Amino acid sequence: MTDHETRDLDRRDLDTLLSESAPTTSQDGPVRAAALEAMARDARPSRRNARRPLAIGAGAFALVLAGGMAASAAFDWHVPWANDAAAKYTYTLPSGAECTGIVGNVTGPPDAVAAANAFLGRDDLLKTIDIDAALAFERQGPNTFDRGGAQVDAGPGTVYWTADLEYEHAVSWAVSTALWDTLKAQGYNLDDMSYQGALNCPGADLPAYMGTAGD
Amino acid sequence: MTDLVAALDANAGALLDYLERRIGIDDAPDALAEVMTVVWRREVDLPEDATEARMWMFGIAKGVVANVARGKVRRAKLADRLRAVTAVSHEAARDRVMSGSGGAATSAPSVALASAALASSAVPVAAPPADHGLEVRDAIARLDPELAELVRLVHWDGFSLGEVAALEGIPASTVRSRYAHAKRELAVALGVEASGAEAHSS
Repeated sequence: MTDHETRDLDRRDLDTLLSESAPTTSQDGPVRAAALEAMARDARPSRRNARRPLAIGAGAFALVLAGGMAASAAFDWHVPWANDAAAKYTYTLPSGAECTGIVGNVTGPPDAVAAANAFLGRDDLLKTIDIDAALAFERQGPNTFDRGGAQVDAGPGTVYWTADLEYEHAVSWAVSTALWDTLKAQGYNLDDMSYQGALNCPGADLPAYMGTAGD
Repeated sequence: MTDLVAALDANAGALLDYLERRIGIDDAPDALAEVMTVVWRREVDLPEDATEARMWMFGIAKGVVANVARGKVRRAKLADRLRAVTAVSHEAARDRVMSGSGGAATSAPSVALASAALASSAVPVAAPPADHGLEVRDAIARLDPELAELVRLVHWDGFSLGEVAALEGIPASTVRSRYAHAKRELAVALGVEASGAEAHSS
């Protein structure tokens, strides 16, 4: 402490010193107030249910998540199109559990369906998707859960969230985004298109409400 | 306008100030974006009483500050506009300090950071930091962390001891004794008379 500062301290009581020690903040004023008002309104979540991030644009994704089942070559996917799936891929969840996903039953104009199946059939499908971007999107929220008609927080720290579930959502979202972006880039109208997907994630750390199979 | 919007409007400035004092002006907009996002997610939990609503929001902000310490707050697009405002304000304040001027800003705010919203507006700037306060802040930081935060909440953020008790989830009597203890330690560390220990209790 310098001599100058010591003299300053001597002249004022402790309460004053403590109050004056507060770090500088940005100055309040109309510009800052307007930005805060805008943020308060922009932060309001849309009515999108973040637990179903895959139903975007022109698509539908019927998720069959089997968390507690043992993996086997003869796994019953409980979807009639399983043997004709356009895509099958495997990835690792944060817990170390392995997820296998299938995507298929693409519907829509025949040429668009053919293009979708061609994209989904790529051997390097997972290399074409941006999981980090999907995770960032997930984390922006809103992440809500419909509990008896009320939207409740389903973000980190809640019983509705696990890292595995977040990652699974992100991968599925990334696949969906890559598919639709590819089709749009090729000039297809997505309005009448849909597809379905299913996941099998034995040993995954999933929220208790999801049980071990089905969703 | 919903109750939550009104509650946010009433407290957003104080929340931003709180976050800026804890984690700095640069990171505070992103933290506030996270606070507001959580507040909206938990809309059903908003207390009806205005004071309780304020404390509830600060409780969320406190959790976000802890996440910042763990490196878990991400840059949010939601914070872009506010970040531009506070960054320009901060730059201008710093320029004023460096130029030794106490009057109107002598340097133009950072053009790169100026948003369209700011281009036609005179941005008021914060008072230059009175960094004889640095020694006091250091003394506070050397306290036990719980005592230090208590002092900050009272003297930086303007909370009463009763509000601190509510925010920290500890009995008011404990807060009062801790506050008195902190004041004694600070008086010794700074070589000044302790006074006004009762001024903030309520």
